[in-house]
Amino acid sequence: MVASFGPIAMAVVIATIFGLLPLGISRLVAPRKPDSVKNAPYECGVETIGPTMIQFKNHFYLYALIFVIFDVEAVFLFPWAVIFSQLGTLALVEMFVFVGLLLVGYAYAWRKGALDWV
Amino acid sequence: MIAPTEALVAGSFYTFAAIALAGAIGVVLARKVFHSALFLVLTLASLAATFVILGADFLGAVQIVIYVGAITVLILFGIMLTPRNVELPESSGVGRSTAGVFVAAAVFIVSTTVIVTSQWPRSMSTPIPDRPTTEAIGQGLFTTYALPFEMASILLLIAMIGAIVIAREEQ
Repeated sequence: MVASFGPIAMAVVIATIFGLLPLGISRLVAPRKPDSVKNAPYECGVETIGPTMIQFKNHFYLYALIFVIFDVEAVFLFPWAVIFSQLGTLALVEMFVFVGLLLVGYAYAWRKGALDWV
Repeated sequence: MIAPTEALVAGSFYTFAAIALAGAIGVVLARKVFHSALFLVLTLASLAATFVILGADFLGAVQIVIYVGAITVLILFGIMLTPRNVELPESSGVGRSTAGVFVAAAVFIVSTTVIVTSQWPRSMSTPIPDRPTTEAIGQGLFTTYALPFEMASILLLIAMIGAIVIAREEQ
C-alpha cells in the first residue's frame, strides 16, 4: 500500500526540484545591478496610489470558516463513496441525514446574509 | 538483514520526520508571522507523509485536505485580516519569560514521560497492515459508529451557526 504512494513521492521530489532549481540558477547566474528605478514598486507598469497594505473586511473570515466546515464534510464523503455499494440504502439514508443537517446551517448562513459578497 | 524497500520506507519516514521538525522550528524562529504560517504548511504536509508511511493513508489524505488546505487558509485569512500596525505591549519582562520557560518545560516533561512510558508496537513483531484503510473506516463509520457520525454533523452545524452569530455581533 505504501508502495502505491511511490509515484506521489516522485511527483513531490520533482515538484520540489522544479521549484528550487530555477531560483538557485537565477541566484547564481543573474546579474544584480539595482537602482532606484528598478527597485520602485509597480503594479502593471503604473506606480501605486495610496497605501498597499490595506485592511481587508473581516467578513472574509466568515467565508474561510464556512469553507472549513464544508471541507470537513467533504472528508466524510470519501469513505462513504468507497463503502456505498456494500451498504446500499442504509448508507444513503445516513449521508442524507448528515448532509441535511449541514444544509440547515447553509440555509441559516444564506438567510443571515453571511454569504453576501460585500 | 533489512530489505531494500524496508530501508527506503524507513529512510523516507525519517526524512519527512526531520522536515516536519525543521518546519516546526521554523514556525517558532520566523520573524514574520506569515513565514511562520508557511513553515506550518511544511510541517503539516510532512506529517501527512509520515501518516502515509505508517500505513494510515486515509488519515494522511485528511491531514492534507483539512490541515494543509483548510486550517492553513483560516490562519492566513486571520493574518491577512489583522491590522498591521497594532500597538503591541512590550513583550519583555522577567515574569513573562519565566512563565514561558515554565510552560515549555512542563509540556516537554509531560510529553517525554508519555513517550518513554508508552508501550510502542515494534514494527517487526506487528507489521503494519499493508492495505488501504478508507474502506475499513467507512465500514466502521456507517455501521458501528453511525450515531457519532451523525453527531459530527450536529457539531459542524453548531460551529457554523456559532461562527455566523459571533461574526454578525462584531459588525
